[in-house]
Amino acid sequence: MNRLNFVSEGTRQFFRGRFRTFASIVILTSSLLLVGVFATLMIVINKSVDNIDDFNKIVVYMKLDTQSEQVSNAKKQIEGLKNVKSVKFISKADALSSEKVKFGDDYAYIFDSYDETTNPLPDSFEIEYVDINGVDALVYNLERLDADGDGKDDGIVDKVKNRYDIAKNINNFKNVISIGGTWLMSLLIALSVFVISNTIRLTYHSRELEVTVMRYIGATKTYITMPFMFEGALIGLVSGLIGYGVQYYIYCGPMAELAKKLEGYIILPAFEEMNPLYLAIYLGAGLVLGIFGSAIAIRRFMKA
Amino acid sequence: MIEFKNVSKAYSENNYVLKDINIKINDGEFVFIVGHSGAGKTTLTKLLLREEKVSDGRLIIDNFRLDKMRESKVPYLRRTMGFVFQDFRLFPNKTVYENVAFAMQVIGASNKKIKKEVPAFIEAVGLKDRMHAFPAQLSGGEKQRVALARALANNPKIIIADEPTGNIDPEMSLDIMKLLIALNEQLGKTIIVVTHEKDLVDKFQKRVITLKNGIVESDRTGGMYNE
Repeated sequence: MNRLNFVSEGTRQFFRGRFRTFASIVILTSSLLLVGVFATLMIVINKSVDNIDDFNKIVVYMKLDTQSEQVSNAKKQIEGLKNVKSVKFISKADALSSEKVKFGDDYAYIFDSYDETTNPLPDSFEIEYVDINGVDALVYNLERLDADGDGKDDGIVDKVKNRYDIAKNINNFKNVISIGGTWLMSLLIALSVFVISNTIRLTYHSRELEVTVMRYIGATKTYITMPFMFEGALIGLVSGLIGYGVQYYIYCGPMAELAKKLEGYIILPAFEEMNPLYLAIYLGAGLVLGIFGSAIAIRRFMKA
Repeated sequence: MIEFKNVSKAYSENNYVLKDINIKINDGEFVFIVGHSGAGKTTLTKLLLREEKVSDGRLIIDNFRLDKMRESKVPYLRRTMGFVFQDFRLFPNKTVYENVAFAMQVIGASNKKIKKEVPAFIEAVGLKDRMHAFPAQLSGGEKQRVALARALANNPKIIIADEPTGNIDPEMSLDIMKLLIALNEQLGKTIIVVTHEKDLVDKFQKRVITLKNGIVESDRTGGMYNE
């Protein structure tokens, strides 16, 4: 008997199973698809968050009457604060030009009446921080800048604006997705294993006579179990491939459309960039779940 | 050689199905094991096949100590035996040839060997002309002959037949018994026939081991069925 008999026998069982094979594939594909969707979501969120401007920045607006000497002292003091990565000074004039650019040529005239003396915009600092967990302390210190070093709040800061809340919300959102996704995936994976194991169990029952005779003739445990394991593996691989195909369609179709509409907010990595990851997830997870389901099904029948 | 030394089997504590069995069967012997329902015949067969483990005592078949045997060795023990079932256990969707070839495929025989030897086994049981028939096209006696050919396929030293004539008519039963005796006398196989058919046992005057309530009631060479 050739050593690869289990391949032909397992494949035959796979096709003979019809409805039960189909049901297993549908369930496992759905589970794998969900794993893929969550993985994508996490990747897209991470990429998009990295792209949000000023996400990890704090902007300090100085009061309009702050003197230039006080501003330069303030810069030095900010640079010396803990958790500060970089400090960028934006002068009133720079802020005005920047606003003009933002409003575009059609509305630039709005700013025409402003000059150096009537400019309503304040000097400001853009501060990049190192650790999100130290933002509260940093904001506290920035609100109480002591530019002249007398140990007192100079009252030169008008407002400290930060995106800490957004960062926190995005972080929470990521956590919810990863916790909820993990639970949902675990549930679906358990369901998949259950369905595959039932499929294999039914296959076993349909081949019970054969297995009994094999055992009496002296077939080894490996010889008897391999076709069942192979059938499970085949269900896993086919589910993995289908899941991969569906994911490809969703990714390159509806999801790409959505990303186009939300350009600037969502960064969708090229599918090719994630190809190896997806293939590994789909085929690997399909294979492992298929074999695991089969092993559970035949374990108790495999008494010598 | 098969040797039961003080073998007992209990499925639950102190509930012995077999108690203190001492039997020695030499190579090439023909033995009937008889007894009423519940006497312990089936359990004895299960012990021989190592389907069940002995509870006490020693059970030896050639080089195998069945009371101490690891699970992984069981297939190799079974390859030294051929087993014939009362209900034939043939595959309905396989021909006579395929049913017999299956036994050789399972233990890894080459296709060349299978093609060469299977027709010889089928011929040995007198079914040369039915090689490509399916079990549904065969009589009960013919089915049992196929089962016998399958049991022979791996050239076992021992053949165990569990009620081999239970599902076939008396005339066919006689043929099957004659075939078993021929295998014993011509090929030197050790044959163990588990049966409760008095007429057959009495007719052949072989060694008869009678079990009753889990113990050996009698063990007689050239014996008769004990009522």
